[in-house]
Amino acid sequence: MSQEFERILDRCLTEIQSGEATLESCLEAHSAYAQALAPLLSLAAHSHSLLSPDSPRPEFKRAAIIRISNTLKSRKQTAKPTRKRRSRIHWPVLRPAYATIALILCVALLGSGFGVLRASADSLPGDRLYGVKRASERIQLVASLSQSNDAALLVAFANERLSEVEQLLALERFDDLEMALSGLDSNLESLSELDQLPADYEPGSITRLEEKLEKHLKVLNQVLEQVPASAQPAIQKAIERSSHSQEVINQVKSDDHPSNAAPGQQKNEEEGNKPEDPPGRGKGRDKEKPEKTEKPK
Amino acid sequence: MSENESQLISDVVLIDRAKHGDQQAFGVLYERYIDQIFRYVRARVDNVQTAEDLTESVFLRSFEAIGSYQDKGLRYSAYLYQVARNQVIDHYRQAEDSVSIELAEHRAAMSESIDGEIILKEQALSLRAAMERLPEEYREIIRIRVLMELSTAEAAEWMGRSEGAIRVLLHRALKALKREVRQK
Repeated sequence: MSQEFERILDRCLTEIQSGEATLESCLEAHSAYAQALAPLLSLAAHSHSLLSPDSPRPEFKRAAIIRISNTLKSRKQTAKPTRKRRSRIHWPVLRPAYATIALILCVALLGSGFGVLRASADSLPGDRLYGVKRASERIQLVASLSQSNDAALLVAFANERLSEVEQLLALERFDDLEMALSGLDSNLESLSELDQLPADYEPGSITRLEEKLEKHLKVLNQVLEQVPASAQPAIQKAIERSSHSQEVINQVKSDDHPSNAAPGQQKNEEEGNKPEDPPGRGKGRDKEKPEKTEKPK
Repeated sequence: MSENESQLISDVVLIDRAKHGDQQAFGVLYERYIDQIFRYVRARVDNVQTAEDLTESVFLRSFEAIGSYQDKGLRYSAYLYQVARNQVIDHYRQAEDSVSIELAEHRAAMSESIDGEIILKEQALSLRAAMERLPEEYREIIRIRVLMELSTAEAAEWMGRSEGAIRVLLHRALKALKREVRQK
């Protein structure tokens, strides 16, 4: 009897909570237990309506995961490497291999450089390693051998700048926003200056970037109303920068830019290139560039 | 990882990815359980700011220790619940007077409310007081099963009991609460 009652009480509570049943329908379905069920189910409903805890604030949820993620990253970076157990191999065995050991040492030294690079990947404007991060991006662009790769890198870097903006907003580091947004601006400028985007270049990535930027502009405008007066000039400047970046994206998307030519169309144009055109230079270079938008000061 | 994809991935897979440093996996686990854990902490702490601090600390500690997490076939929320429970206990241990401070804040807020709200808040306060007089395991089952509306199966995983034991506990807890409310 008791076990049966407990099962019914539990089932009724579940069904009422999920909206599949009401208190009345439950009591009707289990009329033999109605007298004992009614006060307990009413009390449960009353307790839920009065004491049910709130859900977390969306701002808290957004900011907390960024703080958690940054803390995890910084702790990972500062974690000391575990001491390796001393090798049990006898030195005489390795003697003929001194040259190999020297080589390994060189690789290890280079590796520490890569470690710094990797650590800098998560840095934000204003952080100590941020300069390393931006320098490594410049090196990647210099080392890039094709315009196709240049374009992909520039879009990836622009996306990274927007992600930095998002993190800085969550951390309320408004003064550092300017650096991230000017970087975004310069990435987009460089993208618009490319002679041609490759035929296999995914046009959707520019649209996604544009959507992301639009979202950030909205957030910045909301933030502007909430921040103290001392932080407002930095946000204002960031909004101007973002607006300028939007104009540059429009320029990239404009009909004048060779990237918008369909693959076949581009091929035909290339076939029409004059023989005296220098090799490796696209026809787009002959075209007059669309007028540049004025950069905010 | 799209939202639909992330919903389909089990906790075990996500934890494995997180152990290998996949930041996205941490994000999905966080999104999956932040509401539940916050609401549990909030049910035990009156102050929103304290609840937020404790919840953040629960996730930070749990993610830091993810390397040593051992899968026992339970939802990850059961593990987060244990961490949250310990965090709340530590919080009250460290600041023994915080309960009275929080109750004082609660009463101050009440005095600023309009009549209808006062009645509701008084009812809530008296219900809360009745709950406070119950044994801890009764309070816990009411929080989890009634206030947070967790399923019997999930409540069983969180509290480390069988579903049958959870049903018994719920019945006894509601009967005891009814007695306390009537006595008042």
